[in-house]
Amino acid sequence: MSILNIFILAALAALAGLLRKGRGLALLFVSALAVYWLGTRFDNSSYTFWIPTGTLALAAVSWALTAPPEARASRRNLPGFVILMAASLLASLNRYFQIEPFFATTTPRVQVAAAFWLVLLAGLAALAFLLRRGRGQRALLILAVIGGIALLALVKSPALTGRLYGLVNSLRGGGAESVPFAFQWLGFSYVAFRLLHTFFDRLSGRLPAVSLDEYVTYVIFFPAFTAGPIDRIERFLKDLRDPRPVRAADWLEAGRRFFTGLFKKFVLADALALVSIGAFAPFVRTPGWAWLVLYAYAFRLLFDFSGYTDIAIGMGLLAGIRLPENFASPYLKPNLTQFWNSWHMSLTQWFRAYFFNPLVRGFRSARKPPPAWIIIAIAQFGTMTLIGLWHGISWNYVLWGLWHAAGLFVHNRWSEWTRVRAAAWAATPARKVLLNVTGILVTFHYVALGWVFFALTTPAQSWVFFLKLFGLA
Amino acid sequence: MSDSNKNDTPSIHPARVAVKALLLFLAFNLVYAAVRASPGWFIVIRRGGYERFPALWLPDVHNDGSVSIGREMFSNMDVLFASHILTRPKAADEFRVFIFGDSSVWGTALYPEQTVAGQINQLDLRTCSGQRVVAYNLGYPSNSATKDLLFMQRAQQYQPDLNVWLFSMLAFQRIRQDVPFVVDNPLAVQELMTEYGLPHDASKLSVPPDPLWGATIAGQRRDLNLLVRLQASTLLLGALGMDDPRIVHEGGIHFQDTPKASNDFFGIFPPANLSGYLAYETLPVASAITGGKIIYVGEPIEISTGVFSDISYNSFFPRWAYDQFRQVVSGMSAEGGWTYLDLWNIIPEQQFSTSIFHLLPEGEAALAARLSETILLSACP
Repeated sequence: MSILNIFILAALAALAGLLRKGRGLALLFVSALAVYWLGTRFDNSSYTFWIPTGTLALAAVSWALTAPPEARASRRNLPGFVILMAASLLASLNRYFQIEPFFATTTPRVQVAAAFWLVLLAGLAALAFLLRRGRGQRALLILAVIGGIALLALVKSPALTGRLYGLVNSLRGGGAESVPFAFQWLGFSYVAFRLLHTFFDRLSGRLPAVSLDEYVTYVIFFPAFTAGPIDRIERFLKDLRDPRPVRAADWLEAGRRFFTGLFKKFVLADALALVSIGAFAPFVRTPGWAWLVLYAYAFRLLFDFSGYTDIAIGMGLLAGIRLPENFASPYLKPNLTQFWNSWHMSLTQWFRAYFFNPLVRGFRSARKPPPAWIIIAIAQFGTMTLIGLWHGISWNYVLWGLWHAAGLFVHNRWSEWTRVRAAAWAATPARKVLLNVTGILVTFHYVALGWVFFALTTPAQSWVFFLKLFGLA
Repeated sequence: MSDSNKNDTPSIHPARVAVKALLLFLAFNLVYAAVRASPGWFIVIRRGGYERFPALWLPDVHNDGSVSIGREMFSNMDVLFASHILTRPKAADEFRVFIFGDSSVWGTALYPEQTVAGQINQLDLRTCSGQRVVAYNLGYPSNSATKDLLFMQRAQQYQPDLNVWLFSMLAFQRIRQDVPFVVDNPLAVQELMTEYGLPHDASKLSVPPDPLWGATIAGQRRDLNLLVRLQASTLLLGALGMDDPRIVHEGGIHFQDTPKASNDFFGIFPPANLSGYLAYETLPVASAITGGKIIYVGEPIEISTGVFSDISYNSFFPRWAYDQFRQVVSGMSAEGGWTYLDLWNIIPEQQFSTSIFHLLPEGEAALAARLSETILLSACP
């Protein structure tokens, strides 16, 4: 998002926050338009229209799959559908107005867009009819989970999206060559995890009844659309359904978070990006410089991600929604476990809730459960590998995940072994401080070294940079 | 907490906070404007330390995963000069030579010591009076004669003993007199127009900022932003040990050029007289700015071999057009009594690097050797 995007969206959030009635629908309308506005820039291609439309349609279908029959049949859902359709048709009108920010110079005719939404409406009605007694919903939800994960894997894999792009292009009469990175779906990583969260919660019976407009607003809420955080739907609804106007204290906090976020992202992170490792990594002269560019990268990531989170939280507060925190001074944590409790918290909480904990419970409830350390190792390596893959399907992210899994496992065993001894040794305040500072330094450097895998695209590049860091290249 | 305590807590009014923030913002801006601060003041890393004008390097990962490195130059002369070594005090025994020109002088994909200025310095020349010849690279990667005049005008305050201006025909193309650097420096162009009578279409220049607004932080926000980015990028350049990271991909490589098949010069066909299309009027202005202490140099261009070499010298210039250009400049030089070196064809094709203007180090060395003779002659007439 550019600064212009951010300020305009913040103004719209503030306006929506002033509404006493219809705030939820207003937020849905702005969010739906933002999906088009912020969507992938793809010159002279109708993907610019169809990918955002796909996001909206996917959210609507997911709602139909997760809603209980009585909520699905309610007329209360009609305004939500009309708003989604209106936003989409408005975006398609850009064919005639060609307003630069939408950039969809080849949007379909408005009749084609309208026909799509009418077909979708018919599909939703058919789904509601099929699921009117709730039978078959579980099977469909399991299919939706598999489909959602498969789609996420596709979107996150440049090789697969490249081939898909070639295929689609050839069907449209163009060349069939694969173009990696050409086919991108902005915000889908977060959208997919919100959808999966609702599928899982519906399967476990924890999902509250929600209307179409509430559900889609949750999935595409514009402050958190591109960079999170990943809220929980029941918490989100609590704020969305609260009709009270935004309080003065929230305005102040919103301003503080918003401007802090802008400073972090556009001053600190963008300046550090010019120093960070990346394209020039193989050519850094000395170990000292290599460490410097690595530190720059570590802080660039922190300021970039946490800056966007601050902006999202600030905008959310203006609109009357308190989004969850995502970062809590992660580089000041004395061990890796605490680091992961404070870095991209909403993502790690998601994985903890839907992968780590069920896996551990599954092992423990087995007739002959394996030893605890084996359960921990499998769960940690599995979770961290998936967190790595969530960032992109490539070896560097897998290695990054494994690096952290190894760190977490070693820390788990180490703390188990030294807990009593460390507590006894750190009997004085000075020793406590020393232990804490040492922990912070070790943890930070372990995390920073892990960023090498994250920043460089191939394991070979990472290896060369590691050698440089330690003066061996 | 008791009720009385609650009442003691001061209430917060967002509107008051906003007004106070606005007043503080205004105060900071007015103080900044009052002391006439400029972005050049805030260079903290390598102030006066670059051997050529610094650039911002922007690596770009393409759809196919390949990386290219973009170069963004600054238009703010305060920042450019403040970061250049020419701001250092002039030594008593120094014979100061400023070299102006485009990216070939700046030295794309070359280390500073490999550029023409660097190679002249390596020759360790002495004038007849024993002064050390010290050459300064004032090249700026953009083909525009007016842009070169702006640098020349600004650089004279740093006491050059001699100026050397390298150019090709491209620098005189009329449309190139409004390159972004020129457009972004309207006040300096207007000075050229009023002091030296340079004809220029002022309507194409950016509107000079209101003096008060232009002096504030808000008015200078773009330059300040660039300055922050430049300072950060300085650290990366330190890590790489070079001020042009393109060296790692393009350094030492000769790219084959192909002569263009058509004999038009940007849509103009022979036997047209190109005078109307080329800004020859900039040539006498350079002499006026430097007080005649200038050597004009027709810079080496690649004479490419290939199928259409009978029509064109290379992918840019048809033969008839470049011949006409050289003839006109030669004639004007003779008429004006200027020192003019036409070195357009002295470098063999294989000694060019990434374009028909950019030289490999051995080409730069040959050019430096040739220029040195004339520099020493000019120092000791």
